[in-house]
Amino acid sequence: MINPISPSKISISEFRNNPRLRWMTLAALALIFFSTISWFSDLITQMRTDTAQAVNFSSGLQKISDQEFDTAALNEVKKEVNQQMILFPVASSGSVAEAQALKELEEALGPLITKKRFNLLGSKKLNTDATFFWQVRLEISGQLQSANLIDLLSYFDSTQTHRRLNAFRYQLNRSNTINLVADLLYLGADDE
Amino acid sequence: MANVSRNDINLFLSNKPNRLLARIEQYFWANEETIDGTNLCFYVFKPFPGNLSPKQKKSWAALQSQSLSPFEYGDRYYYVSAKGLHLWVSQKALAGIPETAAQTSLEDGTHIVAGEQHLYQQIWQDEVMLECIVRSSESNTTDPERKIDTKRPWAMQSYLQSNLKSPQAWILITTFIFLLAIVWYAAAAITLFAQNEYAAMQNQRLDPLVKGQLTQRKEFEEHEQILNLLQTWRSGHGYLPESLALIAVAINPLGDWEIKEISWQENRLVLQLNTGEMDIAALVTEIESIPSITSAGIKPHGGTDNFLLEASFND
Repeated sequence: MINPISPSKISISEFRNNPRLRWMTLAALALIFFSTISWFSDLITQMRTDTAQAVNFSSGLQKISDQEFDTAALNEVKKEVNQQMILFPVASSGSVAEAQALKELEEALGPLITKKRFNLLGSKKLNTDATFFWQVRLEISGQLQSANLIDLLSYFDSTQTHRRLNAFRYQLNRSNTINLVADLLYLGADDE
Repeated sequence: MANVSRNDINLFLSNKPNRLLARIEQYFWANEETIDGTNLCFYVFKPFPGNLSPKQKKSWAALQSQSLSPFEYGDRYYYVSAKGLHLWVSQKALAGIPETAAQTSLEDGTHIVAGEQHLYQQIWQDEVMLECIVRSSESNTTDPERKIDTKRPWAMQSYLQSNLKSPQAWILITTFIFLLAIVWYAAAAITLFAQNEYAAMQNQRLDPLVKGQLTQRKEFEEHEQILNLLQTWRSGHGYLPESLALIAVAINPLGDWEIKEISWQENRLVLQLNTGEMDIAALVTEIESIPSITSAGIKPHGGTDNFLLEASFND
């Protein structure tokens, strides 16, 4: 009767008797171990990042819940913003703002300045998280009678909310030549 | 130093790790081997012939140990060093390692050493015993210089060294390190998971409490941002009308004056003035006393009584 030798017995015997097989097994094991450790390392790094984010978020929420929010301050600032916004003319686009600015300055300064020239220097969008504004810059040159200087300056005094003087030059000794750069601010409105 | 050959240095360096391993082994597995000090052994040292590979050296040593053994029913013990074969043969069966194999190596030269029962005359070189003759006690005319010391056997196969050469040992070491790393990572993963879960629970608990507040805070920040923008925008280039009025109020009490040119840019006002009979020093003093002016200066310009007044205003 032939006694069959099982494959596992052959493998074990081969492993015991073949040093090269043992060294190769070691190399294969080292590779498997290295890959597994590398995978674990990546996993732990990711977990650490996620945990740090969650803990930071949690401590932020805790901080907020510990502090009493001043609702009166919110109402105050809301009221102030609303009061100021009412004073701003609204423009649906940069081009509309430019046209409005030209019209406004023509109407206000036209009667005061002779031989006047208006030059549109451009418009810029100023963003906040909740809303946006259009700033229009214009250059005006011409001649201004000294008697009209006070009227012109009062048009740009600090009580004015949506206009300011950027640069100004008035030469009374040279035919009352005036040259000024003015900025006008418009509250932006979405077309939709 | 000139007398020391390159081979000696190499031998010394190659022996260093072996010595370290021997010390470690001695520390952990000291005196586990039985030492035979009673049986009379004959010692033979045979250097390796030519250039043999480690495997060939091993086979050569095994063969030599058999062929050099003269006793048919005797016993033998051999050790293969870097220099050659060291063989101990005995007429009777050995009860352990021969004591001259288990002794600590001696300095170069000839030594008389007293064993448990026998007296030996030994010749040593580079920590290797080249000759060992058993001297009969009757013919002994000289006293032994030392008793045999078996603290650090010189001709004993190191348990650690032989194991460190086997792949099985390295498989075990690698697996042990791997398991340690796995335990470390598992502990880290459990800790991080617990922290994450705790933070998530905290977030779930706090979220409804602070939800309204978060909206309010956001609203507050948005409105403040608008106010800041408007304030910055308005004061960005200063206020010419107010600045000019401040100068006029300061100059008026000093006498008649006339403006010839006004220039304003970036909070800096330049006035070309005809000051008439005015005291210029007093004028500058008055201008500098205005709180919102950061710097002021005056210089002659063109004809008599014509001055250029420059004043810079703070933001």
